[in-house]
Amino acid sequence: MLEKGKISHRQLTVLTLLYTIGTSILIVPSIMAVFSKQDGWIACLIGTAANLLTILIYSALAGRYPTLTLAEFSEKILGKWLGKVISLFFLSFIFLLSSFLLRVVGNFMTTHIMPNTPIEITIILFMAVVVYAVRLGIETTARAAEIFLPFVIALFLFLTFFLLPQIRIDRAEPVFENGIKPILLGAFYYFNLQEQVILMMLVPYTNRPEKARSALLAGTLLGSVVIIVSVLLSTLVLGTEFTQRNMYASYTLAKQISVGNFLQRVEAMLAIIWLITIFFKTVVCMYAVTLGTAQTLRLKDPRTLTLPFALLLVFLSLLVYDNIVSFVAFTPKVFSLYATIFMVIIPVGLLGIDALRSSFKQNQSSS
Amino acid sequence: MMKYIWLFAAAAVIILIEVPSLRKRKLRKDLWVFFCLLGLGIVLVIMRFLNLHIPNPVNGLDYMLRPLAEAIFQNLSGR
Repeated sequence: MLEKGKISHRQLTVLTLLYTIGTSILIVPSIMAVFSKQDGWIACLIGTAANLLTILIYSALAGRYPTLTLAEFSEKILGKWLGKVISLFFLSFIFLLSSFLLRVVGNFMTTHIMPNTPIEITIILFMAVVVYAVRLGIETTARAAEIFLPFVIALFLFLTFFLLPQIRIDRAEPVFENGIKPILLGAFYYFNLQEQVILMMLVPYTNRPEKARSALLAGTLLGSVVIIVSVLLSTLVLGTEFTQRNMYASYTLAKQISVGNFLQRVEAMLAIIWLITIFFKTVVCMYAVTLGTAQTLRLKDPRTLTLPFALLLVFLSLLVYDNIVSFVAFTPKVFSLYATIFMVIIPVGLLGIDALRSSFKQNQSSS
Repeated sequence: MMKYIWLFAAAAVIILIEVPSLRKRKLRKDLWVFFCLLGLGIVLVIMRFLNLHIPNPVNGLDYMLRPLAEAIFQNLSGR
């Protein structure tokens, strides 16, 4: 086995929680307001239900091969060459996703926090920290996640608590104004922004893989609660139109906090939460891509790949979008379909083929 | 000019970190993959410095998936 570290199922829950909050806490409220208007939170509920359902599929698949990652068992199921093709296809998705995550960090930092710093510098610095974490291995990263989790929860509760006085329930009305269709559209886009399938690369490294399913379910559920609360707060405090116009609506939301003209401008807290969570999401993605590539190409040490991959990722993240307009045109509409291939079609296909093969084998041995 | 120096300095540091231990452990396949990926990265970054056209994977995805994405959007947007 390439990775010797082991994480407990509690650490897997924490990683899943941070992974789910990931990018979503900052970009989802605005996307939901654009496509589902004031019913965005219902769309998030439906999307979360779909997410939990797919985790059942993933864990059924992982339960058949508890010691192998997705890159390994696709070769077991489909044979050597087709399996390698599928796992490289899958790894290309994770690789592209990591470059998107890097670019989102760069976009946010240059537009909102450090406008005079070139985006390249932000991306390279962030990448350096991510590479360091990936090289230290999953065990260290999981322990760091446990240390950071209380900060994330405390800051989030703080923000929520001080926004409560500004809530106006009538901003969420009328419910179901345009029928169920826009809600389903929002749910579809929300579902595809949570790439839970990548966490399957971590499941074999939990010390009790049979408990991985409950860990993944609990982590996803708790993370989704955080996102649903931030979507709901954006709608109730800012209103639908204002949320639509802000790309990073929850950051604007945090700017609204004002307690007795004394406690103001606490939006950096939201940026801290978001940087911590997107850091863990990028680490998990990059870890998955180095480990998966090493397993597919039968390399001995996945750490060798981290630095060349870092160079390629920095390059790719600067290439993928010309500007923020092309990001907005691509991200929910086309990305959702692209992600569906890897989040639904490939896992369901693998599970179906594996079930067929095992029942075929049983028939042969019994007759 | 400065950006080329930075690029090659970074590449040299990466090689200094990885290659000695790989050679000591005699991992020839790992060494090959390492140099291929690093070479690919350096070539692509130099192409970017020279303002050469590099195909963007996002444009390809956009071209393939846009019709279906628009169909889903039109059917579900409720307008």
